[in-house]
This record gives sequence, C-alpha cells and structure tokens, in this order.
Amino acid sequence: MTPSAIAPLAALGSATFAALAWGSILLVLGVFLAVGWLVLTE
Amino acid sequence: MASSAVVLGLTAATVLVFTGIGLFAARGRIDSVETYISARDSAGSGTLAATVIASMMGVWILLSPAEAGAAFGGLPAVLGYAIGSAIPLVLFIPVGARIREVMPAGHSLTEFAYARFGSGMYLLVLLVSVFYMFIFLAAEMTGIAGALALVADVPLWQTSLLIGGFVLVYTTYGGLLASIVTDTVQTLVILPLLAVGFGGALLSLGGTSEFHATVVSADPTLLDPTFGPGLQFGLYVAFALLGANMLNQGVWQRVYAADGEGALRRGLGIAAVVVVPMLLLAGLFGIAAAGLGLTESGSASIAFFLVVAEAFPTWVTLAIVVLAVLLVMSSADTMFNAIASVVTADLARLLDDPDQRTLWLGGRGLTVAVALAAMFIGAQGYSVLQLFLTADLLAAGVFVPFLAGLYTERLTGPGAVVSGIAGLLVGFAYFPSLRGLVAAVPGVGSLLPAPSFLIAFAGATLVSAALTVAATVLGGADADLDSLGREVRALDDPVADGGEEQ
Repeated sequence: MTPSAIAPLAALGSATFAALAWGSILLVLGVFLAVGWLVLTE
Repeated sequence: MASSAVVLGLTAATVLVFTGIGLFAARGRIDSVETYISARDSAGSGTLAATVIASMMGVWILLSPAEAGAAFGGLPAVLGYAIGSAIPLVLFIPVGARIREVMPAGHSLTEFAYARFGSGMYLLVLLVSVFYMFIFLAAEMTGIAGALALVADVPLWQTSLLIGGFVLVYTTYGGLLASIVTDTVQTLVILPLLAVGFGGALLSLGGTSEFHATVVSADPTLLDPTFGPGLQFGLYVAFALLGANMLNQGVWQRVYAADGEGALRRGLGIAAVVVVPMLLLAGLFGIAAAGLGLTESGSASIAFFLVVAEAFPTWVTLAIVVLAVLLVMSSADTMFNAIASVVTADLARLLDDPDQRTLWLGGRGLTVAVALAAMFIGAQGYSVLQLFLTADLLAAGVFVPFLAGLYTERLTGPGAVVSGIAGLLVGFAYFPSLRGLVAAVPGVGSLLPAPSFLIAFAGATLVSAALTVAATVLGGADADLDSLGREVRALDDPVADGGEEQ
C-alpha cells in the first residue's frame, strides 16, 4: 500500500500538490517577467 | 555544509554590488531632505511592484512560513500566511489612493495621525509603528545571522556587521531613492532565484511525488487544508499581518512614490499576486522539514535552513544564501529609511523653524542610530518571535481607528484613542505572552479569560473597529479633511521650510 493510499481523504493528493508547487514556481517566474517588462518600458 | 569563507565571500560580493548600485543611483540626485525621505510620483507600476515586493518580503519569508508549516498546522497555516500577506497590499490600493487624495504632500503616517487626530493618537501611532518597524529590522538581522551561522558557521556578528554596515552606507547617502532603485534590481534577482532555487530544491528532495509521499507517510495532517489548528493559526496570522502592514511607514512612503493612481493600483496588485506563491513555496519547506523528521528537537523556527543543510547540493545552498542576503538588504534599507522619515517629517513640525541642515542631520543621524541598534541586536541571536507577535498585536488594536480618520470627519481624536486602547486591552487579556503583565494588576489575574492568539488578534481588531463605528456615530467632531492637504506640506516648500508663503 502506498503512503498516499492510507492518507485521509482530506489530505491533498499528489497531483494537486504537484500543481500547487510547480504552479507557484511558474507564477513567480511569470511575475518576474511582467515586472521586468514593466520596469524596462517605464 | 558550505564553507564559511565561500559564504562570507559571496555575501560580501552581493552587498558590495548593491551598495554600488545604490550609491550610483543616488549620485547628485539627493538635493533636499524632501527627496531624501520621499520619492514623490517617481515610480511606475513595475518599479512600484518591485520595491513593494522587495520591501515587504524580508528574510522572514524563509523563516516564519516554514516554521508555520512545520509547527503550527501544516498547509493551512502556510496558506493563511500567504493569503494574509497579500490582503494588506490589496487593501492599500483604495487606502493608498485615499491617502494621496487627503494629504497629497504628506510623508508619513504619524504626520497624518497628528494632523487628523492631534497629539494623543499621534503618540499611540508613533509608538506602535516605530516599535513594529524596529522589531522587523532586528528580526531581519537576527534571521540572516542565524541562517548563515547554520549553513556555514559564520559568526553572528560578522554577518550582522557586513550586511547592516553596507546597507547603512547606501541608505544614509541615497535615502529612499537608493532604496527604491536597489529594491527594483533586487526583486528582479530575487524572483528568478527563488523560482530556480525552489525548483532545484524540490528536485533535490526527489520531486513532488516523493516529497508528497514522505510528508503524508510522516503526518498526513501536514497536507490537510482543513486541519483545524492550521486554520486557526492561518486566521490569526492574517489579522496580525493586516494591522502591522497598514502601519508600515515603508509602504506609506511607496504610496507617495507611485506615479499616479494607475501605477499605485497595478504595482500593489502585482505585488499582492506574487507574495502568495512566494510564501507558499517557503512554507512547503517547513512541511518538508517536519516530514523528514528534522524539527523534532524543537527547531521549527529554522526549519527552512535545516532542509537546506540536510538535503540540498552546494549550488542550491549558495543560491539560497544570495537570496537570503538580498531579502534582508531590500527590507533593511526600507526600514532604515522608513524610521528615519517618520522622525524627520515630525522634526520639521516639532522644531521651531528648522533649516535644511538640521533636518539633514536629524534624518541621517537617525538612520545611523537605528542601523547600529539593529546590527547589535542581530548579533545577539535573540529569539524575536515573541516581540514580533507583540508588535503585531499593538498594530492590530490601533490600525482601524487610525485609518477610519481618512474616511470620516466625525471621529474625534479621543474617540480614536479610546477605540485603539480598548482593542489593545482585549488583545492583552487573551494574548498568551502578555498575560503575566496584565495579571500583575491587583484583582485582575483571576478575571483573565483562557489565552488564545486567535481571540487576541481578532478581538483587538474587531473591538477597536466596533468602538470606532460607535465613536463615529456618537462623535461630534467636525474635522475638515480638505484642510489636511493645506496643513501638511512638502519639506522643501517655502512654508514648511520656515519661509513665507508665496
């Protein structure tokens, strides 16, 4: 039995967790590009 | 563990580069006290977003959210921290526009408190805001000194002296302008460094699947978004962050620095969007530390760096050292100048006809004094969490009546002070670490309710808000908000500078 199989229903699933972590990283990178572009074009 | 010499050398190189940028940016451009403490209408939306992000996101983001994730309730605690940090920025969009409308030539929140409410509320706001900002600064110095000691055995005093000393050099010389320019460059380094460093760190821990499996097998509640204690922590930390940030002079200065209301709205909006993933990522490492069993010895406050020292390759460790140094520098320069600006703006009013030289000496002298005190505290390795929470509680009790003064002409100065103090008393009664002080009052000890951080913070905010509403309804004040704009003038204005009105 895998650890995620014995987790309570309320615990975040592995795919959701991956989306949260990598989504956060991509959002930070996206804001970096947006701020950089805005600063350069001010 | 990374070598002490390499980490110290990297830290020195980082502070030298940014000191050079700060000095170069300000060269020949600081021609008055006014430009030293304000950068009115100078920042577009990108610059404003960058300087707000850099100012608010100190090295605490690598310490507190991770501690919350490890010891105060896992994911919901981290989410509370992340969302709670964004709320003040969103709130500052309408509040900032109102500040600029009511007091267009203003500089500081204490200036507004005095002009709107008089000396009682002025003293309360001065005490709470300066205490909060100084604790923020001391916590930053303590945090970075402790972090470098952990990852590379760098002595506390060397880190504190090196970073504090160089930030002091460019802040004393270039004031707010140097702070904003360095903040902008720092944010453009911090954001990709954070993304790449955290991405590398996730991969070092075996990827998200391995990370998830490790944490869930150790304690599934760490990733349960409905876990009760975590939700409770998330709620009270949101109240704590709200009050403290609304009384943060560094943000008030940047409200005035925005080049118009559009730049203010977009800049603060972008900053609010990015602080959520930044804090969430940092908090995940506290959850990782708990899942890996690294925080069992009660070391949750340094959970992030325990994972760094335990699991990361040297390049990730060094990237995180640079990240941490930049986070500290960008917040420390803001706080140095923010505290100095509060007092400088007040000196212009308190002293009888001060000239520019007196104000210069006051502003720069105070920057040096504040920096030296913060560097000294940073080298001691104190635990500043309790002080931080106390400062947050004070702000939670005071910020509602203070900000209400921007919107209503009926609230009196005494009404605002009583509302704030009543909020504080409720907060003190429930605040776990101040109960001893309150219980020392004869006859009060047995009446104290059960301690609760949530009730302390929410109670302080909500009671002061309810009394503010009551005082506004009952109050007979007829304050003229339109006159504030005439009373508070720029420091190089002929009237404010002691000259004759033209």
